Amino acid sequence: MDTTDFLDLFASEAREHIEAQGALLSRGLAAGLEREEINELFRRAHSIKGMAAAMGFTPMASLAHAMEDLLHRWRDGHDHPAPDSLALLTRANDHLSAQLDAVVAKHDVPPGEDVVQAIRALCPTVETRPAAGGASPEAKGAPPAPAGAVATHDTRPRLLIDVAIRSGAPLPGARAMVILKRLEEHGRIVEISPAVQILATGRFNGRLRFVVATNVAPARLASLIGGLPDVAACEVAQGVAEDDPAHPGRRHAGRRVLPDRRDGAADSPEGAPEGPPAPAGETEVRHAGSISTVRVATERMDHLLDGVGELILDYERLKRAVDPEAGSEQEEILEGLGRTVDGLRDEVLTMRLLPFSSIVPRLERSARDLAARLGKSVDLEVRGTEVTLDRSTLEEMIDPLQHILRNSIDHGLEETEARRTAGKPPRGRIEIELSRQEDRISLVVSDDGRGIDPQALRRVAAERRFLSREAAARLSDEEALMLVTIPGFSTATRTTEISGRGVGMDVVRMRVQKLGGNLVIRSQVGVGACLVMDLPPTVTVTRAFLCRASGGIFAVPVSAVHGMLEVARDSVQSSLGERVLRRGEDLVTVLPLGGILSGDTAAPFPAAFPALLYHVGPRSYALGVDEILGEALIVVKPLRHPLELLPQYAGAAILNDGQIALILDPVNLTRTSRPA
Amino acid sequence: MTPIRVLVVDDAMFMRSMIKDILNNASGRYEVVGEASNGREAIARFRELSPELVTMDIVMPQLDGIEATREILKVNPAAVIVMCSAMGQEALVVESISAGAKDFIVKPITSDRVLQVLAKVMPGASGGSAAP
Repeated sequence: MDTTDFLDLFASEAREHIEAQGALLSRGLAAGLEREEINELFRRAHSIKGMAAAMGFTPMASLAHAMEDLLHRWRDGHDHPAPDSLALLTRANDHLSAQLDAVVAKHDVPPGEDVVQAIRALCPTVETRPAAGGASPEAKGAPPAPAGAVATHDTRPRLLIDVAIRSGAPLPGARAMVILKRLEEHGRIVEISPAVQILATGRFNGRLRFVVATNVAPARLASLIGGLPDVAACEVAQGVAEDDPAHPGRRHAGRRVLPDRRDGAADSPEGAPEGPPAPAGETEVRHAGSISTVRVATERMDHLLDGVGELILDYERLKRAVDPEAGSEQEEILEGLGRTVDGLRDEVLTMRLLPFSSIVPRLERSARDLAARLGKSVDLEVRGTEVTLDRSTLEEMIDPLQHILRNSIDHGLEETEARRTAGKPPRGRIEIELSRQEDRISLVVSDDGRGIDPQALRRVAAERRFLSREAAARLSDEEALMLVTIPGFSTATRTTEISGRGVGMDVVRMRVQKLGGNLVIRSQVGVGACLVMDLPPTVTVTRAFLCRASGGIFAVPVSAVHGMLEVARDSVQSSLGERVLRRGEDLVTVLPLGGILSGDTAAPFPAAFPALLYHVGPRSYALGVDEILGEALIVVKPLRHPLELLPQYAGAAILNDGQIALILDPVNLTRTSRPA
Repeated sequence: MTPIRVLVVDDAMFMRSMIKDILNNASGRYEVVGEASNGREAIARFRELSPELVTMDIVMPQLDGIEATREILKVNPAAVIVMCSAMGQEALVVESISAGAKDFIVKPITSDRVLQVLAKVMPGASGGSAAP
């Protein structure tokens, strides 16, 4: 089979499992593992093994297989998870992650034989598990055992629970939350749809589906949930005992249980409501017709967001172009369209939200690796991991956050001896705290290291001629601390001179600003440093051509542009007071962007220049610029008063290098540049 | 049957009287043992009275109902707290429930509705849904 089509899906699912395992393992290292957590680790390792084998990534499959075997022993109570073996599994999981990185980058997958051997050494009798496919070892890449062959990985039975909330019920999202909490009291929620984040948005449609691992009888759960206020119906069906990666189309052999039955036994002919999944012979209910969650490649989500971004810009243009009279049909239609566009935008933006917890394992891993390499003891605490952000924002923040952690561990936190002398606890401490503040996300990274000395920064700034001595002296402490974010500033200094900040803070600041955020540094010398960032939870992005004119950079939405052309001055003619260009049958009016911006539309043209071609109604225009820089995905930011009064601009964008580009609205630009 | 002891928390006296009225007319099932008009007071009253049930307004001066709920659950993790919210506060109610409140009632309140919700959250209360 051609597996390349599935690579994205494999990577995202495997990543999810690896990171969840990472989180469980680090919890385990700190506080030991609960039985249910061992089960979860086991299931995840099992899933990775199956998927990797199906994709032909044998080293990953055999590593996951070894992990699975060790976890199997723990689960069966043969062994107990000792800190050493937990650390080994953590190493194995990190290795899996590196293997996955290689797979995604299309590099050779690094083997993990040493880790596999180390794990195998802890499971003396490897073949204790009933091998479903005969004697052939699964690590060779053989497909996992077919479902139904042996229920080897039996845990608590899974129940599929469908709940409908009475239509017209007040606060259906809150009701759903009550149901969720009630279920959590009786089992572990394996899946929930829609995502929990939706419940607070007021857009929840009143239908809920859970998969819950529980020993409680289906009938009992049905009556428990069905009896809650405003629950119109609750159906509980027994699901398969575990998810088998080979059989993603999950089958739910089970009974439908009505909410009002009080007694589970009455529903079960065997009189065993808490028994295993119903044996063959009972009606099989396939839920294929009601799939409630769909995995989508992230690329498609991005396309969808692009589309919505363009739709919003086009809608704004349309509104200005039509300029309807109050009370007219056009106005009504436009308003309806506006509401639809807004609704669609909110929906798409919500769909893209991911909790911060999804990147925590990666941050923990970097912190752990670096601390180990530098021989420092560091505790990383992350709070507010349930706060959600747009997935692109989250992804873009991984690098800067890793960078900040590196700075803290390498330069900020002192050696153990120095900490003792300073009267600090020997272990360094880094805290990441997220919180939602109205429509912004606050992200604060603080450490209890030696801090940054603003006085030293002022001195370095003056010595290195970034500022005059007087200007440097005038900087407030907060301004002085921001010096480290000037490109080249920190590379120009030895880190010790500035009391512990390494290179690259300029990159961090630029990334944060590009995402529409802000960065402030606070520090108290000897006590610690703190980076306070605030970020928008969602983004609106669009594709645009970037071009240069009059020394500035401007963005023109791709959706508004019909083509690009090179204009030679000699081919431009004068016609009815306009400068035009003949293109086949068409006359194209040439508008110099620089001239429009400076108000001198008659300025002479250079010998040749590039232009963007666009249409307004039946007429064609070529917008002449100094240079077309290329196409880019930009984050659209609305203009603030009074700039929003300029109709030729649709917004602003901050580019990768931190420069600001105004987004042009060609139609209005044309209107303002031409005498009627 | 001994009545269930209730603490009523709301910054509006009107709401407190209304809830009290509903509970006192529920054929001796409930007894309102205390009232509080903000989150801080609610915590103090809770410590002092150990009520079996708390009705908690969300938006209140000094300390809101969500924080008060968190604090009370620290005092007694088994506390039964029912939020009392206005329409349009869905996000706040969702947050309260994740913080540990058991259920919610929505203003404007009716006697039937309040009694229905409270009956469901009190262990052993009648409601027809208790499992055997």
